[in-house]
Formats: sequence, C-alpha cells, structure tokens
Amino acid sequence: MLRKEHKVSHISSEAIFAIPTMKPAKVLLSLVFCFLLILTDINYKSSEILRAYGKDMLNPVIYIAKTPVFIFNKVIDFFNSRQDLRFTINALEQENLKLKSINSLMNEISFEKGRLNSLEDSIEDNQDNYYLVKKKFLSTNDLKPVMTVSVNSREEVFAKNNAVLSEKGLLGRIVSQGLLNAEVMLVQDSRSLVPVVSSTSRLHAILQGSGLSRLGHLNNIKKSAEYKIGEELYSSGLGGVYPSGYPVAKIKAIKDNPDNEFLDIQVSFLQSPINQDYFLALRDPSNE
Amino acid sequence: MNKSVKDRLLIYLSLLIALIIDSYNFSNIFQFIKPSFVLLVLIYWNMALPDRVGITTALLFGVLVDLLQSSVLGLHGLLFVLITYLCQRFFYQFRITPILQQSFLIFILMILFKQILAFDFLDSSVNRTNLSDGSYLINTFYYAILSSISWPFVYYLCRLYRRRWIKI
Repeated sequence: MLRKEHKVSHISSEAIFAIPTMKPAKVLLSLVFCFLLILTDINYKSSEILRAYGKDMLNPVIYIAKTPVFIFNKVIDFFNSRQDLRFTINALEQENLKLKSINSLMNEISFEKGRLNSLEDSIEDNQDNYYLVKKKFLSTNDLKPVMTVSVNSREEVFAKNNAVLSEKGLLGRIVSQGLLNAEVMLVQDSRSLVPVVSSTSRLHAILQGSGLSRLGHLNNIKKSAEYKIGEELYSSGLGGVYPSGYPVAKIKAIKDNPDNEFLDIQVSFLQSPINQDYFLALRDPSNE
Repeated sequence: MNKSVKDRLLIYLSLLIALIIDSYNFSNIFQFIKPSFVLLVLIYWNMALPDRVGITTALLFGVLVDLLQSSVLGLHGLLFVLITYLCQRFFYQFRITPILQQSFLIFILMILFKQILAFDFLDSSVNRTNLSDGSYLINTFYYAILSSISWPFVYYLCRLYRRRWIKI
C-alpha cells in the first residue's frame, strides 16, 4: 500500500487511537483556576508580592541561559591578543567613566532641582542614595515592558518605588522586590503614569507610555496649553512616587484634532533599556 | 524508577531546557519577536505523548513563564492550558498532517497567542481593550513566522530526544 493511501503518524508508531482524550472537567477546573489567578492579580496586585520572589527561584534558570555566552566570551578572551585585551580594558574604562559621568550628571540634575526649590538635601547626601543595578531580563512583551534587575552588592536592598535612572534620565520604578531581584516598570509601559513639567513653558502634565520604541503621550491637555515641539519634559515629583527634576521625554508632535476636546501631544522617551546593562537606582530616604 | 515517572521527568527536563533558552536576553529588537520554545516543546509533547503531558504540566510551565515574563499572573497558564486542550483534542488530525502544514497551523496559533497577550487586562488605556498597534502587529507577524520556521527544528529535535531517551 502506498503511503499516500494510508495516513500514519509521523511522530510515533504506537497505537494512538488507544489514548483517551483529557477530561473536559479537568480543563474547566484549570481554566477557572487561571481566571482566579488573573482576577486576583488585576484586583489585588498579588503578583507584585510574588513575582520578584518567584524570579529569585528562577535565578538559576537565567544564570544557566547566560552560561554558554559567558563561556564563549571567556574562550574568546583567552585567545585574544594582548592588544585586543588592551582594547577591552579601554572599553571597560570607558564604561567606568561613563558610569562616573552618570553620577556627575545626577549631581547636575540635583543642582538644578535645588535651583527650582525642590531639592532638600545637598549633592553629597544624594550621592549615597544611588546604587548600581544590573539588567537581568527584559520581558518579551514590548507593550508592557518589565525589566528584571539585580543588585551588584549584597549590602544593597531594593525598595518599592525606588526610581531607576539611566544616563539620559528617568527609566522607571521598582514595582516588585525580591531578595536578589526586583522588577522595574519602565516609563514606556502603557500602565506607567509619570507627572512631568515642561522645560520652557513650565506646564504640568501626566505622561503615559505606549510601549517600548513607541511614542508616549500627555493626558488631557487643554487646547489653550502652549507646549512647544522639542521641549523637554522633566519629572515634577508630584504624587511623591517619582523624584523631581529628571529628564523623561521630549515633545515630538502636537496635534489639534477638531473632534477631540484635548490636544494630542506625542512624546519620544529619552532612554531605552534595550542596549544597556547597568542603571542607577535612587533610594528614597523618606521611605526608610 | 517507574517508566511512566521517568518519562514524565524527561519531558519536564526538556521543557525546563526550553525555559532556559527562552530566558536568554537579547540586546536588540529580536528580544520581542523570539519564539517561545516552551510553548513549541509543549505542543510537541501534547501531540507525541498526550497521555504523559497534561493540564498540570501546561499550568505549571505557564505560571513559570508568567513569572519570567512579568505578565499578569495566570495569563500564560490560561493560554497554555487552552493550547494543550486544543492540541490534545485534535492531536489525531495534527499528527498525520505534513510538517509544512503543521508549521502553518503553528503560525496561525502564534498570531492568536501574541494578540491575546496584548489585551489590556489592567485597564491602562481608557478607550481600548487591546493595546496592539501597527508596530505590535508587525512584531506578531515576525514572531509567528519565526515560530513556524522553528517548528520543524523543535519537532525533529524533540523526536530525536524522545527516541533516544524516552524510547516510545
């Protein structure tokens, strides 16, 4: 008999018709369980408590995933010439300088905050409030990007709502903390709302994200508001969640649609976590 | 060790390896379009050995993926359970279809899967129930294409694994 005339399983040779299908009651029960999990998470934010601790448990998985690349890099390093190694050292020194410049940038921003009468502590005091965090994982859903970070030093402890900064400005805030890991909700997240103030017109607004590599928008802006294209937006610190004075985004387009009672203001975010590994987290002394 | 228990452990091991592959972080746009190997491996086991893989496995790995991806807790679990049910319900038909046709079915399934992940469960947007936009649709398309291209590799690799270690 030809193969075409008699269809057989391509996968296994066992008698597949003898296998019973799964019980619908069990499927239904599982679906109800999943819905309960989803509803609990939506209404009581249960996952914010569980997730970072869950990620602590998944730490070995993430480390194993990085092992082949780590070994590959080590082998490459081993076979590299002395000059190549010198280049690597230079690159690392450059990165080190970059991190130092981030620190100095933070000082500058703090100084500006002082000029705006929103700074209370001195620059030296603020320096102690920064700690370095390393990116471990970035979620694959670009509409709701969540970054998992770990601290370099065991002495550092995460705290909820600590702001996370890149050298270009505000990146997000910690929403869930575990023992070794924390989750950072990025400003680009569609759930993220950041109170901002514009650099020249000094107008306050709420900035909402739309996902990574997408334009964000300012909510409910009256048509009489005098925003300008290219204006930078800084965190205003209103609401007490985000610290004030950090650059967040730049106004990209202002549209006045006749069918909308508000202005449609699109902004581009100044920073992205995609190509970067290290960030600074800002400890809030008032929370401790 | 009992053969059935050993088989289950080996299946869990393959899913864990897929989870490890999924947890690798790419520093570019590929991070958002890379295929979900846990799901592909789960689909394979549901077709190949439906009596060894069930709802519990789907639920367990769904919740693990939820933790890894920081999505709404239970969302991946729900989708994995539904896909497991569909695969087991139609595995007689799915198994006898040629590999290219299977890849096409995977393509359709993955488009639906990625679109459901864009639902606005947390009500972050006032006027919309789905956050998907043009860029997300393109990403979805690439994701589905990559998943369907990966399917034959996953299929033959898992078959090799099954024949070598599970011996059914």
